[in-house]
Amino acid sequence: MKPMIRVEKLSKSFGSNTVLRDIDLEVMPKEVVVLIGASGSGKSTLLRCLNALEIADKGEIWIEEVSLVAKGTNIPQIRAEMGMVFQQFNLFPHRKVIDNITLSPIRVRGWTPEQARVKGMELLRKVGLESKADAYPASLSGGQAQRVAIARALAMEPKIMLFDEPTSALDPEMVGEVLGVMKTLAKEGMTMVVVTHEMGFAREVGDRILFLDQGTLLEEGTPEELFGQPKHERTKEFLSKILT
Amino acid sequence: MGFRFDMIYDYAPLFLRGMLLTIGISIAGIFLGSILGLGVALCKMSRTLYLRWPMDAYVNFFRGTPLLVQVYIIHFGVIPVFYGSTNVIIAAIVALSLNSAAYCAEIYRAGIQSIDKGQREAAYSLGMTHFQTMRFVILPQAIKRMIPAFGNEFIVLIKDSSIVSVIAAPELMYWTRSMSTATYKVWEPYLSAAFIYFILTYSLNKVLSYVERKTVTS
Repeated sequence: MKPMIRVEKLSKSFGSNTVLRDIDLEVMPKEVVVLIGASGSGKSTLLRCLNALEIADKGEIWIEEVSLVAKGTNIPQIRAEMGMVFQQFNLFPHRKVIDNITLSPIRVRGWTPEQARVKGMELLRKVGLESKADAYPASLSGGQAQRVAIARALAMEPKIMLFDEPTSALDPEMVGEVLGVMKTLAKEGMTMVVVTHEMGFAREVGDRILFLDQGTLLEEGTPEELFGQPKHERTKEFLSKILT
Repeated sequence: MGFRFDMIYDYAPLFLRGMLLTIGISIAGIFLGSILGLGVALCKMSRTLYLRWPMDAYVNFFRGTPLLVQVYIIHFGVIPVFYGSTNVIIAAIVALSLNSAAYCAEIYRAGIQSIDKGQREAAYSLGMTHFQTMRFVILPQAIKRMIPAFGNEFIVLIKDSSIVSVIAAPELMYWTRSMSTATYKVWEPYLSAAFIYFILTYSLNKVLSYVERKTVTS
């Protein structure tokens, strides 16, 4: 089986600050990979490199065998196949919920508005927000907004979903509803790369956990391996801080 | 000697003709200035140096020199080069449009840059191109925030259009001055002109606050 995502020797700095060093990574179809690490460890930057929101300085990224860094690559076309969910939701405030969801299918995929609307309503049902179709994003709670953002990303029928700390900006009582939607997606076989601080979610849903420390991939393994017998001191230290 | 309303009445057809031309060149200036300004703003924000640098120079020149000087340069210099002879109305419209475009460009730039970068990233992540992101996500939000600034700019443009009377474009100020010279009167022509300019800017103001209310509530 060919990997959905392959990363080789990826490095990235912001000025003199090296954020990622020689990262190697493969994500297989239907795999759920969870990136954990302290803030500033480079996990969000790595995720953002995967759909070219950040441009790496060195190294290679292939999405389904297509190089992301080669000249002449149609970046928007690759991004269309990858959904991304942001910490701050980033819904379009000037469009109704349903129009947030249908915008890209109509403009990028060329669907008819009716077709897109049917798909959009189906996804809203899936995230439990059918009744909010005609609401504006400003009237939604954080948890609702994030579920709409997930529906918006799914409307493009992506092959990969990227989640950048999707629950970090939420009030604690709303975390569950968003993680619930993500669990459903994982069960349905979506290929997912998730940056999160929710260790319960990582343990339950993740097929593989990667621990990033100061821009390097320090340790990886199944949830049992990484949470059960972490090898590195830094991993132990991080886990003991976050799990207490 | 009292205020000669009868004289104003006599000159009314000329004032009217002047006012129509003032409205015409102002609308043309607003229209062309805001379209050109968007292009200039997008170039100025581009990563390509060859687009950014000339547009930077353009904006600096038109904001840093008096409109009066620009009007003379365009009327006596630029238009004859392209047009053979000069034409006051074309020169007036070109000068006002180019001047307004420089100011509009800065309004666009400030408006576009005021939109959270997460909006752009979300649009990109959904597969939209740069153009689609601007067209469907950034500009619809940015333009709402720009309306008050554009209102100011358009009002300034209507008032500044009086400057083109120096190249004898037969607009409102041109007829006002000819009435004054012909009749040796001061109050009648200039107060009439002031009154007409005020009505024009005041109506524009009303239209814009209506538009602003409409877009904010929708």
